[in-house]
Amino acid sequence: MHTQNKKLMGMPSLVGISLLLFVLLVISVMVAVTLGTVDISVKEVYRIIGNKAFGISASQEITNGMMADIVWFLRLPRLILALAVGMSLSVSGVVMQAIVKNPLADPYILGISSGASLGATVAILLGIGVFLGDNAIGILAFVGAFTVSLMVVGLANIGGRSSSIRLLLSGMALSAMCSAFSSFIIFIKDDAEATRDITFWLMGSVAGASWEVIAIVVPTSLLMVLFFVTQYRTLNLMLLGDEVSITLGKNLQHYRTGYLLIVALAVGFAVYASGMIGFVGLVIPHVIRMFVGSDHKKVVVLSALVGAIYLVWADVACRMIIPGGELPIGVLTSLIGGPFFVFLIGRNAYGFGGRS
Amino acid sequence: MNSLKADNISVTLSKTPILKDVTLEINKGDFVGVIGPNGSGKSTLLKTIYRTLEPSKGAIFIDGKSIDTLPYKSSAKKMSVVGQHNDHAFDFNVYDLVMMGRSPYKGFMESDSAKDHKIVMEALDKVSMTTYVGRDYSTLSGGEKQRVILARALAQESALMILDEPTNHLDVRHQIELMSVVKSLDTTVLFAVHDLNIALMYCNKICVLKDGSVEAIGNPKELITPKTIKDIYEVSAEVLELKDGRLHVVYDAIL
Repeated sequence: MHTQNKKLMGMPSLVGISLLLFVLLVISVMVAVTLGTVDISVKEVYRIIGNKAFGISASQEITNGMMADIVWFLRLPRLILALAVGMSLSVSGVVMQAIVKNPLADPYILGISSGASLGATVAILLGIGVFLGDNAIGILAFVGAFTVSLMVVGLANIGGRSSSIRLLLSGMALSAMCSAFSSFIIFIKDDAEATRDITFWLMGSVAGASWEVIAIVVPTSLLMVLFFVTQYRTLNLMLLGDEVSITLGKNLQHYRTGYLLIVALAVGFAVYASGMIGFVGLVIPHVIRMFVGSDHKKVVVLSALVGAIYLVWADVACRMIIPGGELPIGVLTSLIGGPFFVFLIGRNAYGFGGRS
Repeated sequence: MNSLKADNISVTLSKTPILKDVTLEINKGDFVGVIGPNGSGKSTLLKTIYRTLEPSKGAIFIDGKSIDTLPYKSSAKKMSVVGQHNDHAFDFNVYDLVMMGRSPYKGFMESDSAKDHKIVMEALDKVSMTTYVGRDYSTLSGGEKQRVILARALAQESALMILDEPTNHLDVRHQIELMSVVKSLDTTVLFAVHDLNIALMYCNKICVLKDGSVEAIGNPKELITPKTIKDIYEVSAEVLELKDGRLHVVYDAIL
C-alpha cells in the first residue's frame, strides 16, 4: 500500500500524536505558571500549588502570602481558563465550519459574537442585570449569544429545511440587527467611559478567571470536546453535503441544529468567561487540516489540544509583553493569527480544506 | 434487495409538477436506463428514489416495504448513489472518502474495523484506483474522481446502484471505462443517461420520460427507434444495425 502521503495516518499514530500534544500541554501549563511579571521561584510556585491543591504542608509564609495569592488565585486559574477556552473555541470553529460547510466560518459566525456584544453593551450601558452581581456583563453576553443562536436556528428552519446557506444568511441578518442595536445604544447613551469598557470587553481577556468561573467553563468545554470527538463520522458527512449524506445513511437536519446549540452553549460560556477571543477558532482548525487533512477523526482531537496549548502561551505572552501592564488576549491572538492566516493564504499548497 | 418499485409517484417542486404518476419497477439483475430530454424529470425520479426528494403522492417500495418506514441507514445499505459531480469545499484523501461508504454500517462511536479496511481496498481495486489511496481527491481528474465515488458506492455493499448521470463530464474513454466497471459488478443498476448509444450498450431495460410522465418502458432495442427519438427529443435520427447486431444512433443535423 502506498504511504507516500502523511494524511494516511493510522489510528496508532493519531493516538501517539495526541498523547504527545497532551504531554506538551501539561508541560506548558507547568512552565507557564512559573512565568510572570512578579518574580516567584519555581520551587515556591510548586510549594504553593502542592499545598493548595494537595494539602502538602508548607510554611505559613508561603501559603498565605501575596505570592500564594498570585499563583493560586491569579496565574493558575487564568491558565486553566485559557486552556479550556482555547480548546472550546478551536473545536467550535471546526464544528461551525462543518455545519455551514464553509472554511471561512469561525465560532462566532452565526450571530454569536454580535449577540454577545449586544448583551455586554446592554449590561454596561443600561446597567441591566446589576442584580446578577460581579459578572453581569459575562452573564448577559452569554444570554445574548445563546438567544441569538437560537433565533438563527429558528429562522433557518422556517418553512421547512434548514441548509448551510440559510443558516449563514440568518446569522448575517441577525448579526446586523444586533450590531445596529448595540451601536444605537452606544450612540444614545453617549458615555465615553462605558464605551471604553465595551471596547475592552470585546478585546477578550482571561484576567477575570476565578475558580468559580473555571468550575463552569472547564467541565462544559471538556464535555463538548469529548462529544464532538465521537461525532467525527457525521462531521465528515457534513462536508459532503445533505444529498450525499442521505445516500450514505444520515439525514443531517437534526444533527446540524443539535450541534449548533451545543456549540452556542460552549461559545456562550467562553464569552461569559473571557469576552471575545478572535481568530483562534478560525486559524487552529486550518493549521490542523494543513497537516492531517479534513478527516474529523483527527481534526477534532488535535484542534482541541493545539488550541489549548496556543491560548496558554498566548496568555503568558500577554502578561509578559507590556511591563507592569497586560495586553488583552484577543488582541494578541488576532495579532498572531492574522499574519499567520495571510501566510496560509500565500501558501499555494494549502487550499483551506479544498484545493484551488 | 430483490425489487424496487416507484408506485404511482408524483413530485411537485415549488408548486410546479415535475413528475406525474410515474410507476417504475426494477428487479434484481436489471440494468435500467432512464432516458428523456433535459427537464423531463430523470434526476427528480432518481432523487425521489434515493430519498433526497419526497413524493407528493405515491410511494417507493423496496421489497414490498415503503421506503418512508426505513431509517436512512437501512436504505443506504440497500442502495448506493453515484451522482453527476462530486466536488466539495473540503478535501479528503481517497481512502477516507471511500471509507465513508461504510458509514451506514457504523454505530455510535464504532470505529473502522479491519473488515472495513479490506472492503475499502477491494472496492478501490475493482475500480483500479488502489495506487491512488493516499491522494487528495481534489487533485484527481474527472474520470478518476468518478471512479473513487464508484468505489465509495461499492463499499456500501448495496444490492442496487443508482447512477445519476455519472458520466456527464467525462470523455468517451472514461465514460466507457466507468460503465464497464459498473457492468462488471453484476449488480442491479438504475441509470439516468443522456447518451442513447451508452444506453444501448449497457441497459437491458429502458424507461422513457417526457414532461414528467412515463412514455414507455421496455427493451432498449425496441424502444430506441427513430420515432421515439423524434417524439421525445424532437430530433431526426437513424438507428443503424451493425454486422454484429449492435445498434447505433446517428442524428440528423437540425437545420
